[in-house]
Amino acid sequence: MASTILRRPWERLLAYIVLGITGFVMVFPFIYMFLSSLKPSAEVVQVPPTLWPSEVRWSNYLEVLSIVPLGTQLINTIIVTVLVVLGWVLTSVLAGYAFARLEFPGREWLFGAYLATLMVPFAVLIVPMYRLMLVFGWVDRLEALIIPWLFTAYGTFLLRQFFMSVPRDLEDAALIDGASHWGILFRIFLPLARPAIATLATFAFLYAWNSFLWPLIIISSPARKVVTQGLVDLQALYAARVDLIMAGSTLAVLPTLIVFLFAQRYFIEGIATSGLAGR
Amino acid sequence: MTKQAPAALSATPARRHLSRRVRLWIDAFGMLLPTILGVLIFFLVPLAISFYLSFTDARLFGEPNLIGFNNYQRALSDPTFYRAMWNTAAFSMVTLVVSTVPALALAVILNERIAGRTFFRAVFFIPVVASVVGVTLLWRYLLNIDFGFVNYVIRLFGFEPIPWLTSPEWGLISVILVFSWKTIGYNMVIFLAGLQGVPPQLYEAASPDGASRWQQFLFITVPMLSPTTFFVLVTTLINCLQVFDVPVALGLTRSNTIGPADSMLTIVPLLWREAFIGGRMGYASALAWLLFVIILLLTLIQFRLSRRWVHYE
Repeated sequence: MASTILRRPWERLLAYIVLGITGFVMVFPFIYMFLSSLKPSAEVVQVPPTLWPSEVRWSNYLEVLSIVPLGTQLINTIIVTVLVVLGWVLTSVLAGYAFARLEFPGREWLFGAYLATLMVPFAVLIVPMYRLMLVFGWVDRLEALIIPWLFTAYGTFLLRQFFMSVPRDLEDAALIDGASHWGILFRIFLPLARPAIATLATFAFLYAWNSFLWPLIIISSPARKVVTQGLVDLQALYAARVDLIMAGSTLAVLPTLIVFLFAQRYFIEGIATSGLAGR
Repeated sequence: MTKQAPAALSATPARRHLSRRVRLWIDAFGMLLPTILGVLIFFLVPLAISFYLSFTDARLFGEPNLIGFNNYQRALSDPTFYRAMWNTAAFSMVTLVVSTVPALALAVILNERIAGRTFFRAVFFIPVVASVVGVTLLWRYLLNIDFGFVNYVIRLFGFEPIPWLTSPEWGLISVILVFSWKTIGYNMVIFLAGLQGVPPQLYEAASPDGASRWQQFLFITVPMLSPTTFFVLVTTLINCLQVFDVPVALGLTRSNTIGPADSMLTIVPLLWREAFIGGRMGYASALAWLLFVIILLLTLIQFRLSRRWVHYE
């Protein structure tokens, strides 16, 4: 916390210049994306480029929703995201509590093995998972985007760490009163864990909303695709209509930005926690 | 707990104790059941199948036949594999620097007591949360040779426009830029958390001794931050080796090359192309296991090295 590097006024000025330029590079692309999405199609490819649209065309958004079923794909993405978030939270709360609070034989070993699964790259699983989906009859179905992705070692780790920090007295008192572990989990621990759950939910949201490789493999019908696939299709089919591609990208990016605006604290805490895992 | 139970009652509490333990095991099993089923069906079984397939001639459909180490030998004599390996290595090495050094610099600045800290932290984090495919298509537009904004700025300064996405020489550089632009904010937040964990007493102890600010940074901040740095480097490297979204969304062409002349082709896009466009699932599985082995080795080496240069409290 202590200010140790920047003491002189010109150093502070320099720091603000660096922050300002970096901030511009990070944010300007999004502003330009949004403004371009409102321009007539000839204006987005004109040289020199314009910043403000010469005329504001909200109709670009209607057009992009009609040429690629991006509306349906957004709904698919929302369905998949909501269910994956719920699945992550539920399985992580249960497993995190069991690993943190219930002493059963082989607990440490099992938890270590679960964490070790994080080392396996997803690329190893895509081919066999595709064949498994063939067996289950889930190829080109939303089930394939939801059911296999309802559990997470990262989330279990996060919730376990949280539950381990809760004082023992709370559950001892409840156990003496004859409460079951399920009761203790849902009545005492769950309300306490709200911040950790919020952090996990924001991560699950990002993961599900932005996923691309797996949908690309498993979903082929336009009406069942998710929004990231729709965007790539848009780019492949209408490469010349940059205005529409920017409108589509805006639609894909906007929900995550809105969620970030409201849940910023949880995103940043979640990352800081995962960083501390390296210690 | 510590008091002895009267002799006459000792049998009952023991039995009650046992039944309570059994009940606890049942509860634990119930709570872990969804996770155990998930890991079993959607992780362990596929992992075993993948290993098996890597020794077969599996195609998209039909029965696979065992062919020994053929897939692995084929990979080691395939120029496209080497091209993807080289691209992945070059991409990872450069990104490891480009996405971490600015992140550390920004974190050091934001760790100071200056106005607007939380604002800037949020601003730098925006690219992290935005949809990868969405922002990559945005960069495809910004980097366009004819009408892209980046080349417009380059022309303003009197330079020739750069063929970011249309020449094989620039393809991988574009992937590095977009990936790093998206990752810097993430690494910065981790560095910031690490910096805030450095006890201020250390600096207070050093200042009266006449340690300059650079000496303080080099001899206090850097060593105290080494576990964080280590974590950032390892996770960034592992993410880089598995990069897929950025090269594919930035470079996929109609003829299924990734970038002009496959200049953006890294390992996972190659694996995807072999398996799901070429239909060579056995070969793709072998590529996946080669990647897995590389990641395992790097993780082991990094952990071995960390013992030597990471300072833990």
